[in-house]
Amino acid sequence: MIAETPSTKTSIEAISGNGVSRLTWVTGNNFSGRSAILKKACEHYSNQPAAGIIIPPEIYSALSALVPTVAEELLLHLGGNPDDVSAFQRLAEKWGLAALAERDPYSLSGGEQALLVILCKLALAPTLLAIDGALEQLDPSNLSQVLSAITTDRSLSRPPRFLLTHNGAIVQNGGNAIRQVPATDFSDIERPDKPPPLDINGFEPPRCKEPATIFLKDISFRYPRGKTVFSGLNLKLEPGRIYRLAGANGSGKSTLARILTGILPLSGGEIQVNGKLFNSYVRPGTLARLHFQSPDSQLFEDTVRAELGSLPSKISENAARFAGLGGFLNEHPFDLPFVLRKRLALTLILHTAAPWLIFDEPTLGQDEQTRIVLSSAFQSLAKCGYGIIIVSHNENFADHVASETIHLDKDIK
Amino acid sequence: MMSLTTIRPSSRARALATGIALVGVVATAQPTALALLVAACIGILIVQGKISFYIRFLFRLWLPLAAGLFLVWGLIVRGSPQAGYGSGIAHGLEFAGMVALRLAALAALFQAAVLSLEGLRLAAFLRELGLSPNATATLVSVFNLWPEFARRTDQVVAARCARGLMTDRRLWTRVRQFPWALRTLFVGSLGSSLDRAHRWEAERLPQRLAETVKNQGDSKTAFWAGIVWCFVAAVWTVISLWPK
Repeated sequence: MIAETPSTKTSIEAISGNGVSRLTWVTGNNFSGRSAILKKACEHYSNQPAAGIIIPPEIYSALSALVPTVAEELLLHLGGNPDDVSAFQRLAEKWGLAALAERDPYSLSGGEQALLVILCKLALAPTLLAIDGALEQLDPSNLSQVLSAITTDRSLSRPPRFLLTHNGAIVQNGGNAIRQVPATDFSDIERPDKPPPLDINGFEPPRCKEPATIFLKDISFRYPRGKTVFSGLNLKLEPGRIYRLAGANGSGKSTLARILTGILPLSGGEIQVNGKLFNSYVRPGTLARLHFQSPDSQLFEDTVRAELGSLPSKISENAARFAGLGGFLNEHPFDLPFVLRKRLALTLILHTAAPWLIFDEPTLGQDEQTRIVLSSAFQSLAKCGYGIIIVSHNENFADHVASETIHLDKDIK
Repeated sequence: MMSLTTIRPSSRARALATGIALVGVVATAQPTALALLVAACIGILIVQGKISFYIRFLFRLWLPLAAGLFLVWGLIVRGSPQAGYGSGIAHGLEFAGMVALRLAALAALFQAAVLSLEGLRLAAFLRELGLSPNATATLVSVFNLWPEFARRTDQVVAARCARGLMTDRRLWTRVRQFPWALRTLFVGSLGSSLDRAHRWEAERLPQRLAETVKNQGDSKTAFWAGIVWCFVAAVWTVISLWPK
């Protein structure tokens, strides 16, 4: 047995380590204290305004809510400081935000919101910018752009140091530009009690009563007074299979998921399911259930017990055991950390009896151990006859679990 | 990148023109003048691309209110306060029509002059009126309350659809979601207000808002556009108050 390395580092050493790297990646599993390290390192600068800034995994909460467009959000964060305007204009164009200038920040996709928030917080010229999991919402191309700007871009007059947590692969840009530090090395962090992990042995999904084949026929979607998200999309989705929806940020992955769930109406074309037709006027109501990227808007009750109570009683007990939430049943869902809120929202959809289950970024904020259990759960569901669709930028996870990948920007016809 | 120099007209002139026209709206006895003002404001709103809000106001609020006024003063009271109660249906209808028109004109005026401003333009307007950075940020966010409530309500409906707790979109089904929408709105608004207060303070956003609008400033064109607005408002007010 290997003895554990004694914890020696303090949170401030996370950003003041030796070497020239601007970026430190705090690695570790859930509840290893990564978020606490980021928070503590930012607190070190609390006596100077906007010097230590943290971007949480709930990206939308970092928007100002003061201005109606992407352009004004950036302008507001620049605060009339003309020093870096051209550098930020260039970055906005490079990251594809210039094309979204007139859009409402809250109407952007998760990945686009992440790009906007990172750019805005950079505009505040902090000494330290800590990004807690937000990079997981970026597609590989955007992730590489952001990392490149973070590690090698010299155009900003006062580039900050970066501290981040990230589950999944990060391709190193610029040689040794990224410094990795395990969270377990830090001694001055209060670590939360670790809840039990997801337990695949406790996973007993309800029986799939009516497996459904979905035919998408020439479907299109356009937001009112907005751009066409996709058009002429033809697909056949068969039950018992796991599909991965892939595509760049803003390519319409979440939109398609919302159409299949009946949240958004089609603009054109039709969906055929087991002889039933759905179109612009009739939406599918019971065909699919959807797990949102952000768990917060999907939880409604005062306690975890009441949330699980929306499932049939026998299934509800299994769900609590599977999710390792048995010790939190009387807690308010919003009092749980992000990782557990996400786990609760995931569990509710995993135990719902609808022919199709769709998961938008299910691994957001979840560590390797959780991802392995989730992957087994998805495979069990597929074996039971459920159709599964996964929207995920975690390529390792999605490619491992999915039997087929649908590229929304390529397989558009 | 946008620039605030696109503000037409300048904020002080906007406030002054609104004040002048307000006198006319309240004091005039000429329905034609009020109708003319409504038409002019609708024109401005169309140019600004903000007409949809006013149309919604007309159909959802003003029309039922006007119908109520005609019913009460024309058919029930059958008279007006000036001519006396029971003096005739014509008097009642005329009075109801004048009140309804005045309401439409007031709403159109405020919509065109003030409520069409949002975000940094609204902040620039409030700063020019002398409000502090904190008060400006607070008022700007108050103006965002309604869109935010609408967005959150949509989120609740979407999330309940997604969890299978709302399998159709019939009116009664949507009405039954109200308790959850209300609870989420209350908890969500309270939570995000606290989060925002901390974030605004930590990132000095009210000060940045003030600095942004100060550095951009109003252009010369905006100044002259303001003069034109004030002049037109004054001419309209004089005409509307001119004795018949």
